[in-house]
Amino acid sequence: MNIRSFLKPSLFFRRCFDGRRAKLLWITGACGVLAVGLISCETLPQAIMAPPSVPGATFVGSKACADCHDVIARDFKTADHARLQARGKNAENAGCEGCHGPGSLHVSSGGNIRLIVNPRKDPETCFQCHLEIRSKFSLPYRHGVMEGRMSCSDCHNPHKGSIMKGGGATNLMGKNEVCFQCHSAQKGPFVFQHEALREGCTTCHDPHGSVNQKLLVARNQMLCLKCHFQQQQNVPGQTYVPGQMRIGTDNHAGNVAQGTCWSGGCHEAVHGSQVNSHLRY
Amino acid sequence: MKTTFSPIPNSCLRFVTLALCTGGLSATALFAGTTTNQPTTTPEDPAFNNWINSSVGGLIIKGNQAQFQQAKPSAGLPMYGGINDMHYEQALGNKTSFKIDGHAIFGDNDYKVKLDLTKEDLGFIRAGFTQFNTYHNGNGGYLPPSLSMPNSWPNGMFTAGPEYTLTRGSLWAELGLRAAKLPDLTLRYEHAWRKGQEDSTEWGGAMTGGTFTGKNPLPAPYGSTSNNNANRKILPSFRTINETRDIFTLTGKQTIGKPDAIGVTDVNLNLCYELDRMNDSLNWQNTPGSAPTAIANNSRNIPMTATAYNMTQTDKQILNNYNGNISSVTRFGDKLWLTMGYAYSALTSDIGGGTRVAGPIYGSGYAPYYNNLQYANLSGSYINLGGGSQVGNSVGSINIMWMPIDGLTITPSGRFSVSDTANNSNYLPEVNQVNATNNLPTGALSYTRAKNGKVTTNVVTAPVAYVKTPAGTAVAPTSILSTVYLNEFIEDIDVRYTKIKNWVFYADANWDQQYESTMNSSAGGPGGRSGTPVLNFNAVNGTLIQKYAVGANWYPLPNLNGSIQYYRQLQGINQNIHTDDPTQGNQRLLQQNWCTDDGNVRLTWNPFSTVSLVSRYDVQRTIIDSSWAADPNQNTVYPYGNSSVMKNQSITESLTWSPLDRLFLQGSLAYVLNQIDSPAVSQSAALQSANNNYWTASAGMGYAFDKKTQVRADVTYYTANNYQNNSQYGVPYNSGGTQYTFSASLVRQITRNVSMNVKYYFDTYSDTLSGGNNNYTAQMISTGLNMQF
Repeated sequence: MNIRSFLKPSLFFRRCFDGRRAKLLWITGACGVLAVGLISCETLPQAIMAPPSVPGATFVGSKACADCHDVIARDFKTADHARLQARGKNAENAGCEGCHGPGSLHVSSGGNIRLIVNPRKDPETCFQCHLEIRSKFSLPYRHGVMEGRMSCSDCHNPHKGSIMKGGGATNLMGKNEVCFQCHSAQKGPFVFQHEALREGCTTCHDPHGSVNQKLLVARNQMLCLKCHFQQQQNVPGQTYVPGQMRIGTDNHAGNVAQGTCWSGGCHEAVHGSQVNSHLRY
Repeated sequence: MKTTFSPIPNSCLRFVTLALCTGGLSATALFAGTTTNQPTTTPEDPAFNNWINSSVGGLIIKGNQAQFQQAKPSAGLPMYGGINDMHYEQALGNKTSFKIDGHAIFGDNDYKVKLDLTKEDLGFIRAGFTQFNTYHNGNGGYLPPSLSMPNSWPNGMFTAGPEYTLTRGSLWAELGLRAAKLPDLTLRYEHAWRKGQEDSTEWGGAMTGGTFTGKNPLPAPYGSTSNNNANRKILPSFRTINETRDIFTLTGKQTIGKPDAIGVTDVNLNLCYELDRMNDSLNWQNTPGSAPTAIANNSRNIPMTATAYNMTQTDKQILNNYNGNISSVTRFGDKLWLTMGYAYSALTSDIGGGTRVAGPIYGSGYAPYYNNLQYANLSGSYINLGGGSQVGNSVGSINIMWMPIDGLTITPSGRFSVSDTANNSNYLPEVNQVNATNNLPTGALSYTRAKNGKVTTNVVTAPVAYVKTPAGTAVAPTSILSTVYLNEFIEDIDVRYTKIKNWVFYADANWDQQYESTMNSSAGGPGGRSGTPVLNFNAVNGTLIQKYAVGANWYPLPNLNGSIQYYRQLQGINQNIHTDDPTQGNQRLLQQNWCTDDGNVRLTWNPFSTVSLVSRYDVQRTIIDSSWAADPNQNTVYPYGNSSVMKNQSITESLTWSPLDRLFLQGSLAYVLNQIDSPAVSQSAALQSANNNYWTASAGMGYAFDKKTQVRADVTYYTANNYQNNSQYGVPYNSGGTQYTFSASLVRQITRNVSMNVKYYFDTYSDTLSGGNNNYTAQMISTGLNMQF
């Protein structure tokens, strides 16, 4: 890891102050902060809390939530997230308020929606446990959850049944249907479908985020060869020649040097093709 | 292909933006001095239900603007602003309320509004509109690393790629009936669209045969024949998107029995019709050799022509989808629930109108002259694509949630799915046929398949489109049939045990059996990759997927809890194939086994009331072993062996500390090791292990200067350092990049219900993969006004 570059403040500041307009912006901002800081330099106590939080609120317990949200509370026992609900005092805050924050103000205000944490608007709630997903949403290529274009609940069921909206034994919707809600062009049907779709879109894509474009789990031939590599040996009718890379009986050694399997002009129709059994186009 | 346009010079807009932001800062300071004695409160004042937050800001980007816009959706205009978020609700007489929520960022084309008029015990009318853009860097993401490449090549090669914009949106309306003693009914219509252009990770070729001798020869190894006689594909492609969806939905819900009665049943009915229209295209450019040459009748050998040519593949589809499902939940008290469901969907599609044509410009129509002289038979060109699909799919599911004893919940469930798909297509391939004459194929096309244990034979007469073809196209269309018949049965049992105080144990076992019968048959003109006229292929595929998971959550202390989970998934695929085409050496799967082991552990600890620590470790390993055959008919069978090993480990940490009531600090760190390894790397120097390792880190703080003024700041960091310049032998591997972001905001409460803020955002990104062409530095500053009422 290039940790040394991280510790190089010179790169950071050089880019910050590069150009006259940038300098002007910084000076303007610094003056503003200084002005407000000086004017506001008082000693009055004021609480500020790290998000997600509801300042001033306290825990009231899940039963209070059930008074209004009775259907959600009733069905929650079927949810995968119900696995978080243990008995005993130590776990009493792991109910509704474990994700939605303390609810006292929300309850006392008669349901003011601003006084409760809404994970649909702020994924930080989910990231409290799913830390590894937060890091994926920090990658250069990601679904637009952090930008507010999507929410975790577009693909996941937090309150009822399986955590995945599609697939499994309890959903009528298939596992890929969640993706096809937005990516309808990849749904087909195709005369020749890539069988990998049967395994699921996540065979090739990481839906949360990736270092690679198009959320690919690899940006090179390994994306395909992880399934399609075959043993390179002498078999009846085929003699192995060192340096060959056979896919079927064809030697692909030259092809893999030209590009990736799908980008090199050979297998463009990665999801399926209407005209070619090799998914060429 | 930049699509944004600003009639005002950027410098003017930047000046205006700076003036506004400076004004905002000044106003903040000014109000700060005049409102000291006024009552103040937190932003979340219970007295207010409504709010409107607005802002205006400016943006400066240096470097690759498209890459920045892709990462942080923004139109890239020097100035933007509007309503960030709003909510308004109002009681309208007896039991009637009106709500409006939304945002509208002008300049960024980012709009969302939702209207809701509800009358209790009667129903509601709702409507909404959403539209936003996504932006895409058009350089394909795979450019060679060398900046010494000639920059005169077209379409963004070796320089910052073109910028593409895709607009996504929907308009919908909903009418709901919620009257007592009547079923709940909801009628909904939605029109959704996706229009514009986006990048593609596919490339056009430099050329695929011969030696390049053009006026701008690519340096070795990209354009020479010195390595494996291979020339790199280096021209990124793009897609034009024009898709609409019209969705009509009727849902109903009826509760049978009193809500608390034993055996009360909720019945849900859902009827849906969806009409999708798709008119997309894939566009790329090829840069062939120096002089026209004779055109060979071999689709794998793209001939060299005098100038670059453009390929456009148009994919059209009209899709009708009818879906109906009914489900019920019967509650026999709190301890026994029965859920059942059934769905049927029928789908038809029409793919008529698709083409794949080479020409002097994108979207060129088929022209015999061009096709004869220069562009015929390039990259598998074809015209007059026709055909479509019919799909029928039945799904049923049943599950029982049963609590036989206190603290034990058992949920067995099952699901079956049967789908029957029939597809056909026909098209006229472009080949080097001059003055072609009729050449009708004889006989009819027939195929057999197994369905429900019965073998049926279908006979399809030859397409009637065999006409005398113009020069440059095949004498007869290629005609293809395919059918897929798929049965799937899933059984699952989930057990949860909570009787032990502060513990939850759970286990889940899942079995998924799939049986698939596939048939492909083609006839007519060149249908295979090298002009095979007829190919019949049948396969019977059986798949078994088993997944076994166990886990526990533990709350040993009020301020300490943890979880641990492990699962193993085994997937086995066995396939029997038959083909009557002995000339092809196609790869056909005989057997493949996946074995995945996955585990994670999480610990959340609050050692003090002001400190929260979360640690998590995830590990996963998947091994894929397979055996493949090459036609004909499994006479050439490759031995069973390993295809790949995929490993992923991540360790993540999070810390929140509030040392003072007026101060909090947050930090997080993640390190991920991700690798795909395959024996393939020993076969070619062009192949390497795929590594996707990366670090991410973030730090944040919030500080309350006083009861009216808060400042927040965040820093994030990302780096990946696995880039491997393998260009001597093939494509560069893996990723390398570093990103820093810094943001700060100052919020000042002006009155009880009004606050102002100033925000600054800095983002710099360095990308090794693109040879630095994706680098950018961006700064944004904005000021906002938040009102509650």
